[in-house]
Amino acid sequence: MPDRTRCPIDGKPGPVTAADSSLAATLVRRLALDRMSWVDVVLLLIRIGFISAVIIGSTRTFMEGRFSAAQWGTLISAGVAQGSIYSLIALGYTLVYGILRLINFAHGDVFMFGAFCTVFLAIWTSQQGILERAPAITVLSWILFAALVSMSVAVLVERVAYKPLRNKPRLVMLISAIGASFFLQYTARGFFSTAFRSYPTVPGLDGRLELGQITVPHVQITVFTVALALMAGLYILVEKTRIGRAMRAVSENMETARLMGVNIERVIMFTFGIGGALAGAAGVINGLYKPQGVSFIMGFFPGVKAFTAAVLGGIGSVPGALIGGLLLGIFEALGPNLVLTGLGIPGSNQLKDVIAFLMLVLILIFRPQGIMGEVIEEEKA
Amino acid sequence: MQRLLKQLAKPLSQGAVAGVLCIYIALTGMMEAFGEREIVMGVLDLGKLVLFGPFVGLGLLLQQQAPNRRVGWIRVLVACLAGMVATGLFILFIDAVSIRHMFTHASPALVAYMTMGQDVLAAGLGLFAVTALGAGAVGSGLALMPAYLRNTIFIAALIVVGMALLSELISQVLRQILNGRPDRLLFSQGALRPAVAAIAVASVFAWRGLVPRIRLRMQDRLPQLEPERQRQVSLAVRGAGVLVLLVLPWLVGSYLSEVLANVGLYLLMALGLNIAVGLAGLFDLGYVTNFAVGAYLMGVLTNSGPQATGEFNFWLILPVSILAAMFTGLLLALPVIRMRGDYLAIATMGFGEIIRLLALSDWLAPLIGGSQGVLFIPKPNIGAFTFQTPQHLFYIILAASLVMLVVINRLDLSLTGRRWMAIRDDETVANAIGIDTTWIKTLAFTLSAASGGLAGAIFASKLGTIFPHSFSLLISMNVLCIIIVGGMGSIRGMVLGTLMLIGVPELLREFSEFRFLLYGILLMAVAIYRPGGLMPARARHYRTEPAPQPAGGTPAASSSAASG
Amino acid sequence: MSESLLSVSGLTMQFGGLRAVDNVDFHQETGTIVSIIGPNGAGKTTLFNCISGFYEPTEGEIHLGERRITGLPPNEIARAGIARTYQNIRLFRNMTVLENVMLGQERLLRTTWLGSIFGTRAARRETDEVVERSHAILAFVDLDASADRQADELPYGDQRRLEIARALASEPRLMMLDEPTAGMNPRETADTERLLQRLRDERNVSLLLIEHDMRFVMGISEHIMVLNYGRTIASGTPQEIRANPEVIEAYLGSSAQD
Repeated sequence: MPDRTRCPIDGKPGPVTAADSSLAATLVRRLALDRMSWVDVVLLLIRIGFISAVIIGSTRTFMEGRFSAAQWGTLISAGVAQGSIYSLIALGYTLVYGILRLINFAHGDVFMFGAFCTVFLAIWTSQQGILERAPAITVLSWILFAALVSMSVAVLVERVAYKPLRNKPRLVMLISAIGASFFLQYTARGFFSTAFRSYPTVPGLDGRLELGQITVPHVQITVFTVALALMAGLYILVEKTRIGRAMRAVSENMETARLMGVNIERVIMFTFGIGGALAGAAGVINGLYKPQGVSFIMGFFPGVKAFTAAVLGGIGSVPGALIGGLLLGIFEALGPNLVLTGLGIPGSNQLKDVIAFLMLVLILIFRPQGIMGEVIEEEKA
Repeated sequence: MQRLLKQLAKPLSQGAVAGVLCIYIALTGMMEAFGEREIVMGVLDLGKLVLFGPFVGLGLLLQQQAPNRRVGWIRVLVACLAGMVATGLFILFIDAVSIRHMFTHASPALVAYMTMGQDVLAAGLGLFAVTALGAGAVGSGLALMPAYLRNTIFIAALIVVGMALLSELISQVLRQILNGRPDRLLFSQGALRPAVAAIAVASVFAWRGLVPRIRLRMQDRLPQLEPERQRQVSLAVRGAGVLVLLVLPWLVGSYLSEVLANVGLYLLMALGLNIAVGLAGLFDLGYVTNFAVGAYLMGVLTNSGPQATGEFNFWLILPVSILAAMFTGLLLALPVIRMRGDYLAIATMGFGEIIRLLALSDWLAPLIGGSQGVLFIPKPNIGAFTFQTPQHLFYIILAASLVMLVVINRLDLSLTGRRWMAIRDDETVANAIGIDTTWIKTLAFTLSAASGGLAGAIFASKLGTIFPHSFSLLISMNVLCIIIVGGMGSIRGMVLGTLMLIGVPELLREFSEFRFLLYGILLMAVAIYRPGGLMPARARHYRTEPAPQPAGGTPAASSSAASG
Repeated sequence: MSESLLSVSGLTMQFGGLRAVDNVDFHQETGTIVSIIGPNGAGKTTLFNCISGFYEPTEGEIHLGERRITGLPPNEIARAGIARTYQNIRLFRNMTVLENVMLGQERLLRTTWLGSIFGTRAARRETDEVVERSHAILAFVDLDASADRQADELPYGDQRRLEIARALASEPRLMMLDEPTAGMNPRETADTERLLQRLRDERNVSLLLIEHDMRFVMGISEHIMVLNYGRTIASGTPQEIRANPEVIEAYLGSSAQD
C-alpha cells in the first residue's frame, strides 16, 4: 500500500483557483499537510516522544559518565554474542516468510526442541568424559545433533500444520502456527518435565580474552564465530547451489517458479529444514552461552526477538537477518544502561525485554520493510 | 510378493502411525495420568481408552476404506500388528533400558500400566496384544454395522464417558437436590458403577429406538405455529434459561460456582475480543492488556492495602475501569491501525507483553505494586450486603454477561456490524464503498476493549488480590482459542467455546498439565478441518416488518415472484 | 444542456521509472456512457485507481462536478458519488447477497455505532429501509431470489451483476465499471449491455467503462478514449475511433490477444 494519508483535514476542496498555485499552497502540498489525519498525528507524536527519550536518556548517561569505556565494551561484546544467536534463529523466520508469507510462530519452539533434546546428549558426553577428551569435536557433534533434531521437528510441523493449508488465508495459517507452538511446548513439557537443565561447562570456554581494557569471554567469541560460520554456509547454499536458486526463485514468484519446473513442495520442505537446522544449532550455542539452562518455555522470548530481528533487517533478506540480529542484540544490551538509567528509571535491567518488545512494535509501525527489505505491496484492484 | 508388499504398505504405515501415537501418549505422561481416572468402575479407565483408542480407530478407518470385507479384515489385522509391534518394542525397550533421566514418564510404572499389571512381562505383552487386536476387531465391527446403530453406540459411549468425567458436577447437583448421598448410587470415587453404565447404555438404545418417530412428528408441528406463538415459545424458552441460570449457583455449590464465575469472565472477554477478531477480522493477540487495565484500575482505586489510593467503591470504579480499558484500547489501536493482519497480531502481542513486564517492574511498583501485586481489594457491596461468596459474585458476572450478550448481539446484526464484516472480507473494497476503515477499525478495538476491562475489574474484586503473573500471554491465547474453536463471529460459538475450553478443564483439574497440549492440537485441527469453528457463524438474515406496499419491487412482491 | 460530471486534467501516475498514466485529459458529461479502451497494460485500471482514490496521482487534477477530488481517500470519493466495480470480481464473499447490497448504501447511511449499540428507533428504521431498498435494487438486476445466499456461491455472471448492484446501491453520480463483460459468453454480454442501458435510462447513472469487447464498446458508448502506454492516443465518437489510423495501428499489434 502506498504510504498515503486517509482523511484530509480540509474536507471540501473547491475548484481550481489561483490560490492553488501560491507559495503557501505549494508548501502545504509538498509537506502533505493537507492530508494529515489524526492517526498521522498520533504516529508523529510517538516518533517524537521516542526519539527524544532516547536522545535525552543517552545524553544524560554520557554527561554523568556513569560507565567506563571498558564497561561499554563488555556490554557491546555481550550484545554481539546474543545478537548472533538471534540472527541464526531469525534466518528461519526470514526464509519461511520469503516463501510462504507465513510467520512461523512455532519456530521459537523448534529452537527449544533442539536445545532441549541435545542437553541430554551433552550431559551424557560430559559424564562419560568424552567432552573432556575432545571438547571441540564433542561440541560440534552436539550442534550437529541439535540441527538434526530441529530440522526433523521443523519439517514435521510443516507437514502436519502448514501443508494442508496451502493457499488458505494467511490468518488461518497463523492459527495453525500458534497451535503448533503450543503443541511443541507442551509436548516438551510432557516428555522432559518442567525442570531446567544446564549444558555442562566446556573446558576452555570459561576463559577470557584481554583486548586492552576490554575483556571478552571465550564463550562469546565462540558463539559469534560459530554463528558467523553457519551463516556463511547458508549464504553459499542460497547463492551458489541449485536448491538455493530454486528457493530464491520461489520466494520471488511462486507461480513463475512452478511454471519453470521448480518442485515447490520440495523447496518448501527444504526451507523449513534449513531454518530448523540453524535454529537447532542456535539452541546449542545459546545453551553454552546461558548458564541458566533450558526448559520448555525457553523458546518464546528468543523466538519473538529473532522475529523482531528478521523484520528489522528486512524480512525475506538473508544478510538482513544477520544485521537485524546483531543490532537487536546490541540495542538490548545497551538500551537499559544507556537510555533508561539516563531517564532515571530504577531497575532498568528488568526492562531489557520491554526494550526488545518496544523495538518490535516500533519497527512494525514505522518500518515494516526493515533496513534491507523492500515493500511487499498488496494488490489493489 | 512385491505386489503384496505394495498393497500392505499403507496399512503397515498407518498401523505404525497408531503405534507412534500410543508411544507419544505414553511418553507425555497422559496415559498414566488418564489411567488414574476410572470411567466404569473396575472395567475401564481413561488411560486404557487412549491406549486402545488408536486401534479401534484403525479398525474403523481401514475397514471403511476397504473395497470388500476380506481385504478389510486383512488390512486391519496387518495394521494392528504393526501398531502392536511398535508399541510392544517400545514397552520392551523402556523395560530394558532406563531412559527416565530424559523422558520422565518412561518409568516401570508405565510398563506395568501398559502390560496391565501382569507380573511376567511376556504375559503382559500377550494380554496387551490380544486387547489391541480385540480393539481393532471392535473398530472393524463398528465399520460394518449400519450407520444408525453405529451412531447409537457412539452416543452411548459418549454419554458414559461424559457422565464419568463430569461425575463431580452431577454428584454435587444431586446432593443439593436430594438428601443424603444419592450420588453414591451412581458413582464410586468418580467412576460410574457398572450397573449404572449398563442402564445408561440401555436407555440410549431405547431412546434411539423410539425417538425418530417422535421427532418427526414434532418437526411437522413446529413450523405450523403462528409467528406470534413462535415468539411466545422462544420467549418462554429464554425465560426458563435465565431461571435455570439464577438458581444454578445454589445447585452446584461453592466450588463449582467459582468455576462458573471463571467461565463467565472468559465469556465476557471472548464476546469482547470477538468484535475485533470475529467480526472485524483484526487479529489481536494482546487482549490481556484490556483485562489488566480493568483489573489494575479496580485494584489500585479500591484497595485498602499498601497501594491504597482513594479506596473508592466498586460500583463507582466499575464504569471507570471500562472507560479506562476503552481508552487504552483506542491508544494502542491507533499506531497499529494500518498494519497488515499477521504483523498486527505480533504487534498487539508485543503490547500485551510490554504491559505485563511494566506491571512487574520496580519502576511502576510504587503505583501498582510491582511483583508484590495489589492486596486487600474489597468485594463489591450494595449497602450492607457484600458479595462475599462465589455464589454471590456469580450474579454480578451473570448480569454483566447478559448485558454484553445483548449488546454484542445487537452489534452483530447492526449496520456497524456489517461494516466490520466488510473490512474483514475485503478492506480495500470496504474503503472504496465509502467506509472510513481507519475509524471503523479503531472503533472495533475500542469497543472490544470495553468487555475486557469489565471482566478485569470484576476479576480484581472477586480475587481480592492481583499479581502481574495473572496477566500473561496465556490469557490472550485462551480467549483467542475460545473464539477460534467456538467459531469466529458466532455468539453461540463463544458460549460453547468457553464451556468447552474453560469450564470442562476446570472440572478435570487433574489433567491441567495437558490442557495446552490439547489446545494446540485443537487449534491445528480447527484450522485444517473446520476453519469456521465448531459452531460457525450463521448468515445474517434480515426480514423487514411485513408492511404491505402497493409498489412493485417490494420484498413481499419480489420474494413471491421468486418462489413462483 | 448537459453539465460537466467528471473532468480529468493532466493526470500522471508514476511508479518509480514507469509512467503508468501519462498526462491524460478527459471530460465526461452527465448522463453519458464513456469507454476507455486500449491494449493490456495501457494504464486503464491505473487511471480508474487514481480516480477512485486508491492511488494519489503524481500530477494533475480530478474534479467531480465542481468539486476537486484529487487525492482524496477512497471513502471520501465514494461519498462524493463515484462507485466502481473491479476487473477481478471483488465481493464481500462471506456475506450474503443482500448484505453486499446493504453495504453498498454506505454513503447514504446515518446510523452511528451508538445507534447500533442501543438499538435506537432511528437505527432500526434505517436498517429496515436499507433492507427494503436492497431488495428493490436486487429486483432491478434480477437477483432478488438469491438475496439470502452467500455471495461466493453465486454463478459467475450473477457475481458480476451483484457487483454492479452493490455499486448502484450508493445511488452514485458516476459508476466506473472495470471490464463488466470479462469472461462472459455472448448471451451474457448482451444481457449486460441491456442492464447498463437500463442503468442510464431508468436510474440516471452516468457510466465510465473499461472494456475489451469492441462490438460491445462501439454499441453502447457515446464517447471513447483510447489509451496506449499511459497516453491518450485518440478520443471521440465510436465512428471517429473506428476511422482513426493510430488506433488501428495500436490494435493491430495487440489484436492477437483479443
